[in-house]
Amino acid sequence: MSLLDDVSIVVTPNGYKAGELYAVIPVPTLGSEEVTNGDFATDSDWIKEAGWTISGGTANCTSASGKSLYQTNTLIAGRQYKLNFTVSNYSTGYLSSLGNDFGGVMAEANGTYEIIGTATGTSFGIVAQGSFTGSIDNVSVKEYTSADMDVTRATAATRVDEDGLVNYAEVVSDTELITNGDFATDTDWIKGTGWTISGGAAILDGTQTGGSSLSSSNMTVTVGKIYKVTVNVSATSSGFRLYDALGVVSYGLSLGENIFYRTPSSSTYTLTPLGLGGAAGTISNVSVKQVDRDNVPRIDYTGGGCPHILAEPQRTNLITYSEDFSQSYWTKQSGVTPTYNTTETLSPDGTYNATKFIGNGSSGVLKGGISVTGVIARSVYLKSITGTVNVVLKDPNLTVTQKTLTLTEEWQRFELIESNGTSTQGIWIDDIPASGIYVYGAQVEEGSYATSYIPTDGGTVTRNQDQFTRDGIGSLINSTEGVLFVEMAALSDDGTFRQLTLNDGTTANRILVDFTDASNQIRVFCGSGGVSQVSETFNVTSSLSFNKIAFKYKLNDFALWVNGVEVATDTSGITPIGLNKLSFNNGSGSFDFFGKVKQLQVYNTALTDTQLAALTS
Amino acid sequence: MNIYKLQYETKAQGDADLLAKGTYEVITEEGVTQDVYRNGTQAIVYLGKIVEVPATYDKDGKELTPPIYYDGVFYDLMTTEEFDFGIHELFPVNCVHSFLGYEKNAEGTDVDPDELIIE
Repeated sequence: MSLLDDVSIVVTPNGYKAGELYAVIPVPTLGSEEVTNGDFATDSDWIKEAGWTISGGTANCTSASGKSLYQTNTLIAGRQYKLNFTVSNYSTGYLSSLGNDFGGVMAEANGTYEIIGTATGTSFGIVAQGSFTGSIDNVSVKEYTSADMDVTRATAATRVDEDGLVNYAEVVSDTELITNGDFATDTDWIKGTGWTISGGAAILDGTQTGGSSLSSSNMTVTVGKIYKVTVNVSATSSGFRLYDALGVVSYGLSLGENIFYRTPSSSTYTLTPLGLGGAAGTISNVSVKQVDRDNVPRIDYTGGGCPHILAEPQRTNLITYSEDFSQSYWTKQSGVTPTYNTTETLSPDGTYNATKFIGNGSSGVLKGGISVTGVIARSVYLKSITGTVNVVLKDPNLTVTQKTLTLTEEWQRFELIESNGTSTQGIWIDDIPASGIYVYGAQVEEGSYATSYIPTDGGTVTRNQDQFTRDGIGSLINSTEGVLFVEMAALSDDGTFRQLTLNDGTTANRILVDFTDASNQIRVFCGSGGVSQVSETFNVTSSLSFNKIAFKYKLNDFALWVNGVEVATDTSGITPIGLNKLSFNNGSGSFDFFGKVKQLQVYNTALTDTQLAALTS
Repeated sequence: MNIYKLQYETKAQGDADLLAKGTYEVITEEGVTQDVYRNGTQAIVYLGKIVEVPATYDKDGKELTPPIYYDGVFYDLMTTEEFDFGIHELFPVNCVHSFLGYEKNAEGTDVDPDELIIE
């Protein structure tokens, strides 16, 4: 029998969108209709509290607050459902859901709504709030079976992409905002002297004696959102600039694809390429699309090979100019000559924004005086200009360790992690050789290990913690027997608990796999009704490497498998009750799992030893 | 999302106010005490003291004159919920801290940190 016959949930670094990491299994499915008379064809089946009536094919409400329209024995608590309904004749108030299953504010305007929520009870209802006046129709509630994980971070975050570049995890909208950006027709653009549009491009012939612009039509954007601007340049004699509603985007467009990220300060946005006097060339494939970065799960390729899901704690980069070494914020010691935004090499983010430092072998660049106590992680990307060279990484306020680094012609991120024992610390790249080095992306963060790069430009910046949860999946988890399998690695062997659980929304009932506070130790745990049933630990060679761990649970039959070997068993214990949630934490929001996950699977049966050996090998 | 920029006399005062407002909970499990975000809190960032006049350094990075700080200590709170922090809430125009992906002055209007009178 194939393992796939028994697996109910498979989560891998796969598809995603902002706020959601798609599970491979199950494919989202809808169950049968749970609501009777959702089209209000008759005045029946619904229990109407004061203010609600049913007539004319709709349910109507007049100036009601806290009054429900509901049906009993409709839902199963702990399961996900998809709700659809329509609001019409709206004038005041809003609608919430009974038991808050579908949110506190479901609708406060005319329109058609679709909401996925988790039932907290067996009744389904819509509650008029704030003197709601309006009508509803076409109410549908169907069980929604999916293990797509909710992702919460509420800030942007960077990762290493499949090309080895450090960039933001983001989702680019499919909606193109610029009109006629492919220059399919000679319309929509205001052409200055020398510009023509034909053959799918805008061509500047070089006859202009001064700057000549090509202005797009207005776009409507959302203030504060990020937009990806793409402009392709070819056959240019150089001298092309790009402006937008914010001002200068670029004083020198490059041949090929130019990509910029802009955050409009006004809801009206325009894009204006400009050729300097005598400049000739072609602009094509101009695009403006909204980008979402908040809550986008990170599929990280650090180290190469297969990617992993990256979950990190909240961290703040205390360096306020992480890339701009031209700022006086950075002390460039005598004997060091900088070249900013060098075009000699692409930086780790794929653009020309690294700094070249030519030194004398005994001085460097530093930032000290950062007010922070305790262990901090200093990190910076470095590479040599030629060959292999050494520099020293240390703290400028009180040097405890002088870490000699060996730089090559490939970018590497180097770290120095320690406390200097004082209340002010910093980072110092010293002994820069005469042959020179390239520098990019300095970071100083409180903590015993460095996390993903947090760009800064004029202030300290925080990336929030990653949180992954999926509730309402009671139908996908067998509480009486099964297997929780995960291939995971720690970010650091830092003596903290980092937990993955199948749970009931509490810590009373759960199946748990975690890294413990002991070095390189993993543990599995079963709790039922608030009572510990099974707790087994095992020391792996390295928690920083990926380990395949499976926890089999069944009445009086528990086993821990690691990398193909059964390493612990327990023949006494009962199983949890009412498991309906998968969480990257202990079940109640603490002991968050911060680490890397290549795959996570949940099985509805206690697999055989042969299957477990195959699964974890 | 709501971003509050907050000033207190001391860290103890700030922690107590944020705890009292339910932005986080102190939990002890497995012998470990942790602050766990609650009620819509996305992040609490303790900024500590904020420099008003930066320190000066010699060419070797040795401090010549120490920094001068604004009074009190500072926090940034990111939350889905709304709170009334009273006089502890600031509206700085040139924030020293931001959240990744947000504008540097994501909250701010017109009060410089030193204009706040701490009770």
